[in-house]
Amino acid sequence: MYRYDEFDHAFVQTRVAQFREQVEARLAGQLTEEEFRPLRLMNGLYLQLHAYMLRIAIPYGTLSARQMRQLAFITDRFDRGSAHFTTRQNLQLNWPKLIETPDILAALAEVEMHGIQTSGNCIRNVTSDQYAGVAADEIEDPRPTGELIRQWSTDHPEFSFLPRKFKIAVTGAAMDRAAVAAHDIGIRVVRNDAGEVGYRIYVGGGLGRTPMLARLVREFLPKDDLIAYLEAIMRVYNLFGRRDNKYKARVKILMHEAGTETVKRMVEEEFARLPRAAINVDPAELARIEAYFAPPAYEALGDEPALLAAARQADAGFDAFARANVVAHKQPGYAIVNISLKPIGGAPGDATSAQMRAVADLSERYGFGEIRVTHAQNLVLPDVRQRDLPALYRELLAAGLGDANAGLITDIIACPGMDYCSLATARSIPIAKAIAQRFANPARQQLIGELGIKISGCINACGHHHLGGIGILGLEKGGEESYQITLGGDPGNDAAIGKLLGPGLAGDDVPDAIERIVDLYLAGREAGETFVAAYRRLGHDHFKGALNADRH
Amino acid sequence: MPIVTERGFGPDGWATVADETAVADGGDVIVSWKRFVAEAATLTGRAGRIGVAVGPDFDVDLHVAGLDGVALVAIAFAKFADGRGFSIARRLRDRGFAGTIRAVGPLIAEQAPMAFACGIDEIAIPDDLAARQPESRWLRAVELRAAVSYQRGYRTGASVFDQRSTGGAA
Repeated sequence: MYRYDEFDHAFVQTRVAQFREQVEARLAGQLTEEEFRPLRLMNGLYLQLHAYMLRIAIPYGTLSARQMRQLAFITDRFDRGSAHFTTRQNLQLNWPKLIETPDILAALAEVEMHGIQTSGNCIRNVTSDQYAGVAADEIEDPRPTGELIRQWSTDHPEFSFLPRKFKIAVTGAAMDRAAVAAHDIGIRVVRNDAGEVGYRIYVGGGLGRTPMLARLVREFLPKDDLIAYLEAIMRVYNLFGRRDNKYKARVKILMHEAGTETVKRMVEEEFARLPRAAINVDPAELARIEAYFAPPAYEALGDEPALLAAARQADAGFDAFARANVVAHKQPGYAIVNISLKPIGGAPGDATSAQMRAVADLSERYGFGEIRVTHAQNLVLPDVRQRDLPALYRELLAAGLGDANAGLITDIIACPGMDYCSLATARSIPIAKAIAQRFANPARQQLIGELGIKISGCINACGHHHLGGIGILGLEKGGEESYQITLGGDPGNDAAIGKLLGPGLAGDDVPDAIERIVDLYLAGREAGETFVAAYRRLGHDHFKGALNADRH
Repeated sequence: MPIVTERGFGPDGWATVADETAVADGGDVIVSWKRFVAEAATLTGRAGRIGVAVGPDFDVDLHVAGLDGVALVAIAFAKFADGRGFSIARRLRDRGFAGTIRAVGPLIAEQAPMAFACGIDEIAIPDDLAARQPESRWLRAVELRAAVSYQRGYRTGASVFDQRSTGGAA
């Protein structure tokens, strides 16, 4: 894992001191609320429905056990004992007090964390593949690139007052688990015909009210040119992105209105003109960062198929867990373990401080003290010895973290919705709970197989509903909540935006409609066909009848 | 309208002349870009320096050749949240403009070091803002920013990336 050096420490500590002064200046009236707003947002502090909300960055989703314990401490000391992991690999505290936020930021700085640029019209926390560095299908660990981008984008003098927020995701694997097509800039680590490793750059993805998939702008960018190329994209966006309408201000709209080829040409021209050598970072710096992500000291082990088969036969719960939550590791004898934060009846992505501490402990006993946060709002232990899996499963069960539903129908992504968020037009969490309860039967979940349900409580699409195999969007219609259902969304390599199935439904009718969609899938699927694959083959109209009983 | 530089508040040595007002001979004046284009020959021939006021949609690459003889470019910031002026300043510096760059508008103190890093030399702020945000706030923002900055190629102290590779101390 990356460790701060004296410069990184100096930066966050200065930032904490500065924020403390800004809070004082706000309270003294030197700053108006309008002026204070971008400053607090740049430190992750939102004003929500009932209180402030502090969003803490977990860059590229990697946490140490020590950091997780500190988050648990902060959750107890400054919040109400639970916190919420988000779809952008951030952690949200829902009840901090304004006056205490500088102290929270100071506590984060102690463990090399911050809330910088988790909000506001700036370059946001960089996200990545939750299996980075341990995935079997990886060209290169994307996290050093993520860390380089984190540092370069931190407090950027030119790009801190953009037309709108700006999200960058990086993946290094053959399978895109970081939804790069849904980001303002998506970066894929690729190898060219000459065998060199570089970047493929996509621009203009985003969800919200106008969902669009990012377009390819650079097939192969040499690694050493990354920062200058990013500055060229950012400058074109900063100058020419729309500022007259916040709903048309993302770079996707610039791409859409000006055309991909025009934006591409503008970026390439800017890239050709700017003083590349003065801007790019010495390759030695990336190498320095890469050294922190060197693989841990793995034992020379062999895979344990016989041991695992016996354990699965002996325990149906473990069998289900191994099937859904355990993923192949690049190192023989090891496995990647997903820890579900989606217990049936719980709020997706919520964790109590006790659970956070339990995960920290388990990451040390069953790994190298490292934890990942996923954009599906779950956690990952990246380096578990296969022979330890049955024991780990029992401990997770004891901590209330043993749900064997990763990637299944009850592994629902949901934004906080009307229960917390001031932007929301409908509730998300109760809908997620009701659907999970409907499909609680483990055997039924396994029968249905891989299926992503994603729920957003408003058009801003924080729940990524556009990318759900089944997407649910909560709107307000004539004073009542109304839920639209989309089908066929896919965040992966064949990224697709879901298509609207029909008119909105009342919240109470959503579980029935989902059940009918699932029944139509089960009736129409071929052996081994996932929901999205079946949807593509069967077509949208196959599912039309699912809504008829519940027109709202 | 106080002028903020890295040294704090100062007076405005330039007279901003409205399009319909005659430009007197002598003294440093700022005129609109439109007027400058129309009257360039006369304006550059007079005694005293000439500055041009440009909007946040000013296209540097289109017009940079026409800035010969211009001693100051004043970039309007309609509101502090509109960051286009930072990129305009950067482009002016990238493309070789060596005169003074001024930001004009309600920037906040925290933006001063960003403006200076992008090649802006001075910021003309409204009087009411200056009254609410005293000089000390602006100087403090500059001081805090000087501590650490990562980016290379901006007008800041040494980038963290460079300090690391040269083994420089924090």
